[in-house]
Amino acid sequence: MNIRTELLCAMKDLAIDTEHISSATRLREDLEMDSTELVELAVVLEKRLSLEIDDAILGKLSTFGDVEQFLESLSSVLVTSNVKGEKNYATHTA
Amino acid sequence: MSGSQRLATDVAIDSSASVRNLPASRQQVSPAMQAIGVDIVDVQRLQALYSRWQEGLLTRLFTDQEQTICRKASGYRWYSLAGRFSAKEAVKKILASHGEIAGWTEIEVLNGPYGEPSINLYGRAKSAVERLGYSCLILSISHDANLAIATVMAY
Repeated sequence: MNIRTELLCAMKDLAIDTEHISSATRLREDLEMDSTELVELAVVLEKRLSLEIDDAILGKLSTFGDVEQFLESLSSVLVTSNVKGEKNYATHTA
Repeated sequence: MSGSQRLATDVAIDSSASVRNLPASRQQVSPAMQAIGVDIVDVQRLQALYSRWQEGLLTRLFTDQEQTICRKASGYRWYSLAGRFSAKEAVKKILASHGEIAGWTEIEVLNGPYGEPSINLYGRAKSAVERLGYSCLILSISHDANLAIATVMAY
């Protein structure tokens, strides 16, 4: 699973122009995403990545790179817990 | 000094001055306003999101009690849901201005005995408000022409 690709696909799904996106691209200032779009992004990402995403933390992130890193950390926690055979609620400190 | 502290200081200074056209008895120092949050939501946009994501979207944004209150025989009262969504965002804006975060369902908007909207806080929202020293959140919601707007004052 390539997190960056999935994130770009999720944004395209929301009709966001992803052509010039880089890690430094700012969600609100550059992509003009608002809180409603961030909610929808969380829904789309949960469906695509089978992760549980905390809207509050997602809403605090500033750039595309921040979101990518956040998803990577959630994904790695999920993989670790699956390996250990434990139920683990993925958390992330923004 | 934080923005809210500066505002509090300004209000305190202003309130010591006399107010024209108000009787002396009314010119009392009121509690200093600490913060204000406002948000506006397009009702049709929320409906469009629901059309796409169905109940999963509402579960994400609203508590069970909020969903029950906003349900009617033929579906949902979308103006009420949009008003609540904007109220939650207004509270989140106040918290965010202090670096605090809260989930959508950690802020619940119900109705008081006179139908007035009231805010219940849970989890991170509750602890953040306590940490910031606010003892009261006042909410007002209005809607018209496919828009819902909410204003929250915290002091």
